[in-house]
Amino acid sequence: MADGPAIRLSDVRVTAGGLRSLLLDPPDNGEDRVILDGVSLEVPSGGVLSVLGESGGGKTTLLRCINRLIDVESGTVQVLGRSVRDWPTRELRHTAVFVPQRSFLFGGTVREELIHSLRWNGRGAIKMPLGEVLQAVGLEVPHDKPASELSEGQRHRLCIARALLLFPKVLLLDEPTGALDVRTAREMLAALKDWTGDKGATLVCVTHRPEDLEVLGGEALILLHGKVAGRYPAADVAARKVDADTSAFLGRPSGVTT
Amino acid sequence: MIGAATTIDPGWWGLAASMLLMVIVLAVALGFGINMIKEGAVAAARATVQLVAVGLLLGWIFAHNHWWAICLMLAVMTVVAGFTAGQKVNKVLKRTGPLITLILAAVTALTLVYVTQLAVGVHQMTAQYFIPIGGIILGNAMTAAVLATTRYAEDLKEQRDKVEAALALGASPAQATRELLRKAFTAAITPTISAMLIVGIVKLPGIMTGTLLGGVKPLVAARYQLVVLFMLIFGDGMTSLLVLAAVRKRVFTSAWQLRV
Repeated sequence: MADGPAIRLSDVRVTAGGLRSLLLDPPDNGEDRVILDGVSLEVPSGGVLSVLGESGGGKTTLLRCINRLIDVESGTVQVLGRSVRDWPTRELRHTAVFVPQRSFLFGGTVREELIHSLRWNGRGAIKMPLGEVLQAVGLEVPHDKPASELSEGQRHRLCIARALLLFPKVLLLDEPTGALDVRTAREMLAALKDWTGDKGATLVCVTHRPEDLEVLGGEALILLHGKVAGRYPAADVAARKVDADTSAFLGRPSGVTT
Repeated sequence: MIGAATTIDPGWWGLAASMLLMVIVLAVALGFGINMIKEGAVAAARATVQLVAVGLLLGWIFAHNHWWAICLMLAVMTVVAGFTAGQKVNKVLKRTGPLITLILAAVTALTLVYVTQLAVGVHQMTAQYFIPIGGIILGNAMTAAVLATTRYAEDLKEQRDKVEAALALGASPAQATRELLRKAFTAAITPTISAMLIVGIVKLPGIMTGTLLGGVKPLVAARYQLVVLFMLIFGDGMTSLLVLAAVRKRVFTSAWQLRV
């Protein structure tokens, strides 16, 4: 298992209609937009993959199908060599943790906020390196401070630290730097990359900022209209050494893509 | 009859006299330029027809006291309650009617048997006790089911992303919606709890008023009212919890994915 890819997607297709069909009360609009259209990709164990693309281009959906918050319509999704449909749900969600773009607090102090996920698992005070996970997101706050008093950027980093406390093998981050200024973003990504590198964890990071790639390194995947438009070494994308389409996309002001 | 029965029948003339009260207030309102005559007439006619019909029907059931007639009456009331609840919940969550009907039937049957056997001490199936007691359990449990379901479904839709963030960290649907469940249950049970706090101080509750008018001694009437309140807390609470558990099961897939 150590040799195989941490994540493998084969010909994954997801449509708006397919997601709607899961709903109890699907809305009537007949629009059936393709969100992911035959996406295949592999991320090696311990690798770093950044995902760039237009807003509504399927980036978040890609992450959400890896820890099975949604099911794909066709194709397969594998985590650590095993189809997500064969994983026990909780084990999968702890192995591949998804941190959404918006930060959500479940209440309490920084310390309590961090251990929510452990409590849900019935795991008590066995392994709680709170300092370590806070450091891994570059957050220095008192553990007994109410989490609601943190700034938006601090909250978001706290949410990432909360996910790290599960010691995931795969970390799925949706625009982790969206709420941060450039310098803080850089610091956090560097600390985060150190942490995942140290643990041998795989990092998949959706971002709209090419400058994030310089820090993250690894590879970058360009997702346009639900299709993989290209995959390059991150450094090349950061330096715009890419084909015309991708270059055109990257050339847009980053504000447009959020 | 409960205790010593000294009921005075208002009679048809008495009914007509009471109706005159409504005519008077509508006439005075007309003097103020408010015309509510049509609405008043429709409401009065409907109330009269509905209640007299129920009175006649219950009269027949009480007189014959067939077990099947009692069961049939209770069954019809349950289906109507379940259907009404389903209609009200429909705005936030579709197709809950059958689910609520089933739970109402189970909770009402259980509560009814318990209360009649252990609290009131009616050991035969007597229409005079079973139908009114069943009716009050059903009516209240129906309201509780609607309040609980509506609140849960509304909160879930509003906090969808937060619930999903919890699921993403490995929380089960029960863990991810624990707070929503607590709020929904509280919303359903609070009206009855609040009523218990002020009962007898602000106004005499319906059952006590009814039994007093029926000629029952005040202390007996008070005991009846208390039995009814405890019974309603059970019926409302149990219905809410069961309906919430069933709704929670429906709004998530077996793979802990949200369906709303």
